[in-house]
Amino acid sequence: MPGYVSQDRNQINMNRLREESGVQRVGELVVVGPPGAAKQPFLSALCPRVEIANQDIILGSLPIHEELMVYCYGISYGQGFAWDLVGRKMLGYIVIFDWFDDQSFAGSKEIIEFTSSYFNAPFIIAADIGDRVLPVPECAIRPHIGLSAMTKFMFCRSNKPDSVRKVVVTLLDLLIEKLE
Amino acid sequence: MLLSISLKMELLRALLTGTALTPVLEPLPPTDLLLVHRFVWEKTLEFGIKMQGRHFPQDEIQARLRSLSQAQFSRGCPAKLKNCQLQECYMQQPGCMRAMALQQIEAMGSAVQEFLIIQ
Repeated sequence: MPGYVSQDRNQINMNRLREESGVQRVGELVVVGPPGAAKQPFLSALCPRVEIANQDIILGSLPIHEELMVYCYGISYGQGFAWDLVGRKMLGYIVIFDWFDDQSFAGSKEIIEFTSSYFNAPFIIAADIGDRVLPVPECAIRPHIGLSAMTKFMFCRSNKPDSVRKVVVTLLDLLIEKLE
Repeated sequence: MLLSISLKMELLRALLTGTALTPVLEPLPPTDLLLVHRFVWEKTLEFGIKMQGRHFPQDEIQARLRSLSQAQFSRGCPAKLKNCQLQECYMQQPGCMRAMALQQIEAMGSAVQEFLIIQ
C-alpha cells in the first residue's frame, strides 16, 4: 500500500496554515497524480496561496468565506503521504494525469485502484491536456463523463484557472449530491 | 457485481483514442464481459446523443449488433436457442458468449469513433 504513512511534518504544516488563517471550519481536498502530473500548476491555478511542503507535497489554501477554508493537498502517489490521517476525512479528491502519456495513465489507474478500495469519498478523474488540442470534440465530453454515481471523468487544462475551477466545482456538486 | 473504476477508465480511454478494446477485454471473465457490454453500450448512447442529438441512429447501431449475432447464430447455436442471447449463455456457453460479446463491444467502439471522428 504505497504512501500509507503518517508524517508529522505534514500535520505540523497543516496546523500552521490553520493557525495563520484563523478559521475554525476546514475542508480538505486531495489532488493526487503520478509523479510528473501537473499537481502544482493545478493548485496554483486554484488556490490564492500555495506552499511546497517538501518535494512531493504541495499545500494550497482556498478561502470559501470567512468561516470556511478548504485545504488542498497536492501529492505524488507513492510518496510518504498521510493517507491514514487525511484519507478518511477528506471531502473528496481529484486524480490528475497527463492524457497523452501512457505511463502517466497507467499510474493514474494504480492510484484509482488504491483510493477507490480504501476511501468512500467522491472523486474526479482529471485528464490534463495542458495547452494541447482537445483530442475529441468538446460537445462529446462536456460537462463530464460519468463513471459511477461518485466518480466523473473530465478533461482539464491544469494551467487555466477556469478549467481547474470547473473540475473542483464538479467535485463539489458530487459532494452536495452525496449529502442530499 | 460492479466494474472497477480503473477498468472503466481503461475502456473510456480506448473509446476516446480509437484504440482496440480487445486487449482490455481478453483477460476478463464472462460476467465482467457482460458488464463491459452494458457500460460500452451506455457510453455509445451517451456519445451518440451528445454528438448527434435527435439524429442519433440508435436503431442502426442495434441493427449492426443484431446482424453480428445473427451471423454467429447461423453458424450453429450450441445452446439451441432461437436467438443469440449473451445473458443466457455466459454460464452454459461461455466460449460462444465471449466471442459474440467481443465482436459486439468492438462494433460499439467503432460506432463511437464514427461519432467522435477521432482527431
